[in-house]
Amino acid sequence: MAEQILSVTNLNIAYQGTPAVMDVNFTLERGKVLCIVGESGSGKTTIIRSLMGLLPVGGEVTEGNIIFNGRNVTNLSNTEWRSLRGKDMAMIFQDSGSALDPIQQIGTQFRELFQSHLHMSDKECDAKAIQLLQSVSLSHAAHILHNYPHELSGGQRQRVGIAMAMALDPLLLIGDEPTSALDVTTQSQVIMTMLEKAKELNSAILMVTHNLGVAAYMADYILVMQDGRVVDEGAPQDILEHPKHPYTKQLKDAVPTLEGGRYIE
Amino acid sequence: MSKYIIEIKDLSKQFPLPNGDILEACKSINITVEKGTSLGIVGESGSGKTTLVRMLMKMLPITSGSIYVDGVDIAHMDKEQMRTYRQNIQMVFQDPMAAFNPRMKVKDIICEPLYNFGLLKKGTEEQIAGDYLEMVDLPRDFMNRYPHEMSGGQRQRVAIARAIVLEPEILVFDEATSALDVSVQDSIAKLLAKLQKEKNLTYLFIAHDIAFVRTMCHTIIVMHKGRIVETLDARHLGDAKEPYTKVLLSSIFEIGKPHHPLTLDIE
Repeated sequence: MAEQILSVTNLNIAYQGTPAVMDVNFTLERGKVLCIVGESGSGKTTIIRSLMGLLPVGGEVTEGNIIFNGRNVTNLSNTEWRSLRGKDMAMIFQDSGSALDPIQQIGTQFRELFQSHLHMSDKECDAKAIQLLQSVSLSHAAHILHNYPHELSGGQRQRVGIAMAMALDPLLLIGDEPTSALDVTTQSQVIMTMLEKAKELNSAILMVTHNLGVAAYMADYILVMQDGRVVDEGAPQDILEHPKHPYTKQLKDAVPTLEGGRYIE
Repeated sequence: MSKYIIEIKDLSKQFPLPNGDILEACKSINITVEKGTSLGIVGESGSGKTTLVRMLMKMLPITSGSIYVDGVDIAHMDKEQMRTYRQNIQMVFQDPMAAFNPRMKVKDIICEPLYNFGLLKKGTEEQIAGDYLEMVDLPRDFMNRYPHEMSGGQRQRVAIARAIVLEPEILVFDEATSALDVSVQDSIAKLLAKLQKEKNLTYLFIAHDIAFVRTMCHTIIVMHKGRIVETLDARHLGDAKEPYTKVLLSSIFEIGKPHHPLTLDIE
């Protein structure tokens, strides 16, 4: 049997008493990719925030359990979370670039990341960082270590964020629209790097995206969310290529394609 | 008069770099756009598409070449022509939250351009704001809301209402729908197609998503490193011949299709 990394049962989350996520269930095994799709406000970001213990003030898990790597993480303290995050699970945000420290060089930030979890010399850190930066198609990686975040373009910063999230070979990589702001060519490269890396390490990926094309390509399993509930789920071939649920069909029909219908004559 | 509403001839833009080098952001660009049609400009970041549009909007001076709009050279306009031009061409940005004054109500946001041009008669604000809200399929009572009280899609509709309130001929969209959900993007696209038909508007779409641009445009130009590498009929993207265009097309993830992105060998 494949090893289960994440198991979410009957998850309910509320913001100041107002339910935002209701009765969500899923499991994720090693080497697999799960994508959550849906419109903004459907609760997809809330779910992944709860998995990382990063719900904003006023948000709380009101019911259900999150089991990560055999451990119930539903109500951990901040200190316990800190040892898990970054090492065992890492997150890529939509705007990872803005999470970088503006007054430290990229290389220094990589060293801090490695050395807070592992015993590594500065030299080892730099070598590993260069390798990571190259894996997200950043050329001149050695040069980038000496750059400050403001000296890089938005796309470059995002790729640095992605490289940092993958730095400690996490068991679970969580992405919240990590490539939506990137150019199509960069997006394609980054998605393929993430998949390769996960395959190599036999780790799992959980992605939130509104790009159904990306979800169809990456995912082994897809959850479609609407108004805080999972309304449709299944393998991408089953639910996206021949959608049966009206909401999934509506989402798919809204995706612009290279050969489909147009808005003008 | 020329049959083209926009005519760009041999346009270049150079930026001096601090180390004495020169960055050529746009290199001999030639474009013609017919009235009532849509032109898409696609390319990666750094391809020069934003620089090109900034010159068209008169937000950047031109280094060489010329831009004619309605037959007038926009680099040499008198004060009156400039005033007309600024009404005639309007722009919608990616992030309306950043473009709006957060302390202004929707009705003031929509009517501000009229006010700036001295075209707003006292006491007509609510009538005008209501009419334009209806035009972008929003309820009239949205006029009393503030930007933060609306969703991203609703704010982008208000941005469109504000852009068309001066009855321009040309609208420029700089990644205006790329931050929106597909279903919201779908509804905005339908709205823009309807408005274009009703008002015979000319659209320019700058975006990196060639799949979306092709659904909205008649012609697509592909930019790479400051040059136009290919001009395509949006109905026949399969006719693309340039390697770079093929790289862009092959990078798009599509449902039910294998993903085999190409790369440019010459870098």
